[in-house]
Amino acid sequence: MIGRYELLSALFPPLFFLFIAFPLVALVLNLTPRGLAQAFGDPYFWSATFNTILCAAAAAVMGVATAVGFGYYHLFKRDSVIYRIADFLNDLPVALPHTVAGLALLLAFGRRYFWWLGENGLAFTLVAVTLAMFFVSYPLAARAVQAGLEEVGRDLVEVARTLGDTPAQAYARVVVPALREALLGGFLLAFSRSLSEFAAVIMFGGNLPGKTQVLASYVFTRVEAGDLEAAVAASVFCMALSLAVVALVRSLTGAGGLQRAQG
Amino acid sequence: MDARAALAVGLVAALLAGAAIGHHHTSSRQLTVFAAASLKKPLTRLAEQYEREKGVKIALNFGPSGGLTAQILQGQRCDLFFSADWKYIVELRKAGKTAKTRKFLRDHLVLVASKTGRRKGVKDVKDLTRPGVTVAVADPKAPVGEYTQRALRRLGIWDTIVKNGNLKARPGTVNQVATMVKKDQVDAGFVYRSVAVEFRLPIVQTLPHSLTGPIVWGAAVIKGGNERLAEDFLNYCLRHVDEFRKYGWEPA
Repeated sequence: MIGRYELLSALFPPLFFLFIAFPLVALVLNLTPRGLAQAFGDPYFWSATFNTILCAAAAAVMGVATAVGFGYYHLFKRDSVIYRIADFLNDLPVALPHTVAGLALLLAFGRRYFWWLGENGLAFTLVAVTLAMFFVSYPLAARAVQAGLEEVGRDLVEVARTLGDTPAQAYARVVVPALREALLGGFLLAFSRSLSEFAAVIMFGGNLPGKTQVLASYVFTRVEAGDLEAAVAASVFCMALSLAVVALVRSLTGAGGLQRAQG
Repeated sequence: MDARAALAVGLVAALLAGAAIGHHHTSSRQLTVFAAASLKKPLTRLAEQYEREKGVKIALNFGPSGGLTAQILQGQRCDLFFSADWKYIVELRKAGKTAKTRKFLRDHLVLVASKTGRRKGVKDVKDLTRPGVTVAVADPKAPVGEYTQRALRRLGIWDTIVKNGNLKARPGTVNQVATMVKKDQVDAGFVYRSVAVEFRLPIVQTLPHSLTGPIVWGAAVIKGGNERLAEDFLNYCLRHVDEFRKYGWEPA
């Protein structure tokens, strides 16, 4: 007999493997040599790969750096208007449809307000691609830092403060180093999220093959065209890429430590 | 696997089976229509009118034609499909998915210019090669991107536009090109006449089919669906083709 309390834990394996793992397996099962040849033989695929790694890494670094600043407000300025607005808006980019995000970025940083930076403002450059990725992935880094801070606790800060540190000194010298795991977790989440972003990147970045196209928009346009074999191959590559990055960062930092931060 | 896990698997399976059975329940009074997103306004209107007149129920599903084609190929239930490009109809016909196909509407590729573009004097396709003029052309994977590229190649200016860096953006859809022009983020772009009408963009130049190749919207009655009703609604749309004319299309 299944108890009320066991129901969810018993439901987890079938739900997880059917709805989360199986689609990924299906993608791999549909991999064809022709699709691989089409994708890997396409120079634009490789430039898209390069742009993706470069911009996603930059966006994740930006995301973590900004999140560290947010963490200071979370710890010391929780009553400030800035913190309240930032905390409230943290969920918005996740909830916003991403074509809307792309349009918002284009309107904000396009030539209407940023004409003095060039004929298109910031739009249609790799900087734009990075900013689009940053926009959608920063909240994940901020949440990771927030969760990390809850674990570090105020005790550590109090100790540092009694030793004569100002809040900023205590934060930089004691708290941030203790957040190492959370920061790495945040970096990975932000990086992976950046890899998958296409809508905002297309609208604001320009999606110019060889210049500003990224893997996700490469896959998207291929799927739109019904060009499924190459799209599947590029998707599997994208999946392998994010798994490789996760594995790499975990091996560099010692396995296991990141799980908590990511939760 | 213990008994509880087995029971859980059973529960999920039953849930899925239920959903599947519910999905396949159909009647002769119900029609599922897949259509290119650009057809939304006129088609919704005609479908409502048809529902009232004939007492049937039409479920409309709008999306990008390529994506809808992939769904039909994967066996998604659909009785009638309106595609924004003839090539998807051909693809479905080759796969043996269609009971009947026909050319439905004709459109034209047009050059549209933004406020800044008009100030810079963009009056003709040839002006796009001038330094400092920025242009958006849809991704070549989208049919409109393919038509644009073909027309500009035939005019002998495509390579110049790419090499000189006039080409700034390759959005995934024609609507995104229209949005960029409408919001004045690029100087010029290429869209369908129907899209220019919808976005209220002033048309600078209309490119003839001799340059772009035929631009034809297609319709297909899908095999194994409610074929009789699908054909009847298709004929109804053809009789009321003026509804589509309002938005810049011509009968094919």
